[in-house]
Amino acid sequence: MMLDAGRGLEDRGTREGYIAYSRRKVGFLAACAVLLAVVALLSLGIGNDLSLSEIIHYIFHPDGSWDSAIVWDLGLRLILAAVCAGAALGLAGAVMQCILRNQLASPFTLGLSNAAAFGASIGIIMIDAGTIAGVTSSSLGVSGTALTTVLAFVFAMIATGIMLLMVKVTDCTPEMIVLAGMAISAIFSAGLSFFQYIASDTALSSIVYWQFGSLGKVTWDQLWLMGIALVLVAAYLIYKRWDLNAMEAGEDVARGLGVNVRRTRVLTLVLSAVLTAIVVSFTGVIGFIGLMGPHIVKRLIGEDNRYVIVGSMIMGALVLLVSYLVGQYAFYTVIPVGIITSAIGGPLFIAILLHGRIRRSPA
Amino acid sequence: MMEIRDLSFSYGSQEILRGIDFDVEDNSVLSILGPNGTGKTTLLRCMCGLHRQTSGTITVDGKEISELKGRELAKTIGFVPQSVPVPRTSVFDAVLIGRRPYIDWSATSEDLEKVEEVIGALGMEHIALKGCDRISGGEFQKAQIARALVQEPSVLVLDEPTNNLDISNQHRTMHMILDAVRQRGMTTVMTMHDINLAVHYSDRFLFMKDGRVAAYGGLEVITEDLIHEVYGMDAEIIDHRGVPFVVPSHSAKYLHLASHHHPHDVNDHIH
Repeated sequence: MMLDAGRGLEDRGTREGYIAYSRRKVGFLAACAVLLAVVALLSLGIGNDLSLSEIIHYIFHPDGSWDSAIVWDLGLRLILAAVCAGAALGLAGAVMQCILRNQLASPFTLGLSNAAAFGASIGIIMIDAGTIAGVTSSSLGVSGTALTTVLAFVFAMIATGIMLLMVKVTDCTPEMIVLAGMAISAIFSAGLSFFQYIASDTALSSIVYWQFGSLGKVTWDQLWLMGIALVLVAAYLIYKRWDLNAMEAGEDVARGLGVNVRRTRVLTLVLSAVLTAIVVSFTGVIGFIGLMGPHIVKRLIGEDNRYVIVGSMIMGALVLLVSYLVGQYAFYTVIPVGIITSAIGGPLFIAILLHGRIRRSPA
Repeated sequence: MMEIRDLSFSYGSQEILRGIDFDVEDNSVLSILGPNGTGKTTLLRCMCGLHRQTSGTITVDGKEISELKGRELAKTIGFVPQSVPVPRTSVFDAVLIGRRPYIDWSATSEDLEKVEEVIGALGMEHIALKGCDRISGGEFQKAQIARALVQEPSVLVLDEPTNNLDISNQHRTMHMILDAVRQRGMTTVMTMHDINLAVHYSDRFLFMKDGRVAAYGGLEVITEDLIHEVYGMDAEIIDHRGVPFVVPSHSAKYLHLASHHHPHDVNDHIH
């Protein structure tokens, strides 16, 4: 059947064949977007006895009633958090795989997750120590959780800064950035282990819980911030999709086509790192979405960034939403979404590795 | 017209190119020849604006290459490097990226028409929608050249365009390049390893030795003395239907041995 479809394309002119080939990719993305919307809408009805029409009514006419609060605060907030965080991580993963020329790159390749967890653990220990937290919290005017969030973000940005500094002062290659990211990750991981070692029992459980990654702690304000950052970064990267494609054709080819390779590389890396840092500081560590989203899309429609960027956002959102629903409703107790994504992501990661192996060896 | 005047290039304190001077006429084909590591690729990269020369000028129609930016450079010079990563997109997409200097938001039907036309001219319709990782090395090389052709530059610069191709594909690729550039009125500059291939397809020859020009001109510059000077090798130049054919002198010794089938003697002669 696949063969027949291929022959059908060749019978037409090259251009018409190509247009049909491109339309199929757009069709695939549209179908995924519709699927995401349907899953999101249906999931609002899980765990309560509201009808679909009631849910839709409350979405557009929130009235402060108990049912309205169920739809908005228990439903929409978490579902939008899953969609935004998933889309952001999928987008960052797709872009990093392109820029770093590494199929296994993800938002955490630069050591962002460990740096954020390190920052969060400082916050948690400060709050736990009481007196210091009292001073810091009142002088900054922020609550304890906000302090944890801010510190997580600050340290994720410090990890990004170290990477940026390396790129700026040396002429380092994408391969070196990946290796340096692993080193940065290891440094923060050591710091994190140290804090876990000295932490009290309550602080230790908070640090561990933070690392699980969960959508429950995302507030409406954070959701707005995440959404705005996602829209801005996505708009820029979609605008730059031709340049990213040119860079996939090799650095010399891209420069010959008029792309400022160095600037594009630094800017895209920083933007996706900031986006990741925002998401991670609100939700904790949610692994593998940045790997799964882009790879599922690439397997299905190829590696053209014109489709992969948008596709990875939709697929990342879909995977995180489904993982969230599984963690929330499939077991007797609620399981943090970070555990579910890693449980699915781990086997997928192995499958990607094995797939590469099989293709390289002679038949 | 491309003019290179007193061009020098250094990596730090290491001088790679020195005092290079030559012109490339419009609609002509220039081959750059010379031993490995003599600076041929560095010269090409300077001509493409990928390296900035230490001193001297490189101009195309009076415009200095190192001062051209982005799209303007892309419309002036099209470069096909010797090896590039194979993208996992279709051949059509890999060629279409050559239109990037002309695309604002998305590819127009004019862009698609130009890609279709070049793919047709190179006889690649049957693989247009195949993945670049599913075609042969020769076909991918053709796709790279097609990419540079849809870029519609004034000067096409090719680094070893026939590398890794078998003899029939070498000639077919060269024919195709020449047809395409003549039809589009492009000037072509390429590095070549094989003198005997270059002589069939070039108007001018630039021989390089240790970062300098050893000889520049038409077929007449290819002499036994020049081959000795540039490659440090004795060679005979045989006239084959008016085209010089370079045969290394010492190879005749082995030719003689092979024709007599005396494998033991080979060992006696190799020292």
